[in-house]
Amino acid sequence: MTRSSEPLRARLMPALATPLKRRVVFVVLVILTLWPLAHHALVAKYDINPWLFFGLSMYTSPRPYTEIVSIEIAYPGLTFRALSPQAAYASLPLRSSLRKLADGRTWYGTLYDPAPAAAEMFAALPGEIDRLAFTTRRLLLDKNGMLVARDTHIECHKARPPNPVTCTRT
Amino acid sequence: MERLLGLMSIDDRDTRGSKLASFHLILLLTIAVHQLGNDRPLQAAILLMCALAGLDRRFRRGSSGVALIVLLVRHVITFPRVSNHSYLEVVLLTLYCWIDDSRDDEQDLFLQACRWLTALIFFYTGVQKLWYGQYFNGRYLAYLAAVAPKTGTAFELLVRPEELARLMGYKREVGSGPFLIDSTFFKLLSNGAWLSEIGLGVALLFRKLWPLAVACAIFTMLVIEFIAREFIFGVLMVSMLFLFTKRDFNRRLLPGYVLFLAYLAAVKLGWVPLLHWV
Repeated sequence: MTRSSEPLRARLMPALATPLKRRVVFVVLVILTLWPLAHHALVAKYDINPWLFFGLSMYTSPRPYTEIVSIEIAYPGLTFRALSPQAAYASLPLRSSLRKLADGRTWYGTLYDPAPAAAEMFAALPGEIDRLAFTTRRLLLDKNGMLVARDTHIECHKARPPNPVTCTRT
Repeated sequence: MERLLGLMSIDDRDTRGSKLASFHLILLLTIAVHQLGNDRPLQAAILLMCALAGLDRRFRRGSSGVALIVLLVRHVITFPRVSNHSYLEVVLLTLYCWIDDSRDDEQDLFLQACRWLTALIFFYTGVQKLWYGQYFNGRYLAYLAAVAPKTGTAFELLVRPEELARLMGYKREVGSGPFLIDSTFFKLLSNGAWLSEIGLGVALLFRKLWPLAVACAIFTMLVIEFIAREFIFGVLMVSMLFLFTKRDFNRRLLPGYVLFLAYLAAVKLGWVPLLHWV
């Protein structure tokens, strides 16, 4: 039989020996067995979303949601002044960047780099603003069943290329 | 490797082919109904056609491949907002594509892998609840009663009305609470959740315990579904549990699966109301 006359399936996926298939299935099962352990470590260290990424930890804690509770801006040489989050959300370009930042932190925790969203905000804000600060908040259920806040303060500075914006947690 | 895979093997040579066929249909129907909930009728229609095509063994692998592509595209578009349930669907479809279901030993491989997955899911969902520690004093279930309206019917039976009203009165803001219920039964139920999941995950590793473990796991799934109301996932898990039995119960129960999934699809399309008990 010439190659062109082989069934399409055989050409797309050549027949593999069953022992090889068994080995592959076994390796996948081992990975799936170890992944929830790694997932738990990632949640503990980087605050990634426990409900996502196939870690089998849905319904273990309230579904995480990150909100941005304060935004501050600063002009060169001056101190920070607060920008009302409502006013920021009223501006379409800022709203989109804030949404991106909040979603990124909700899903990836501290693994999410806020610098790209901050760069968009620098571009959207009028004037020569050179620093931005945000406070992100997640609500957690404490041992006594009370909702408590875990706040993270992030400061971003305009810098020089190739990294036009750098952010640090303070 | 062979010993570990062999833990999940039984002499069900006569029913393996039938089990693969009926589970394939149930899997693709649950995925189609699941997609309906995501406002993607075209994807749901393709998946439904795949389910029907898969009734013929010759097309099963191909239809699994098409369904897998549809799901993967959806995963890429929506990542990372992909539910654990969807990942499981991808793993199961990949398995169907991977094996040659005309071969008896590969049918067995498929069933071994599905059984391992079922045991892992039970075990780890319990272990994660234990690790996060929010079930010990029942605070997570109390929080769920307050914030998830779909759990209302279940918690109306489990919690005193004044307690439920207090919980539902709390806002989702700093300082709200306490999300606790002073009831021994409620705390037993809360701890019973993770204990039974871990116990069932372990019990499913022992062939002699399978009949008892499967019966208990189905009961546990019914209780979980009564509270969490994720029926599509529930249907999939129950059908995976029936892969542990020697007979092909999924095939016998196929009309029931189809009717229930059709009802859920009709609810999602807004054609019929969600019944109070569902």
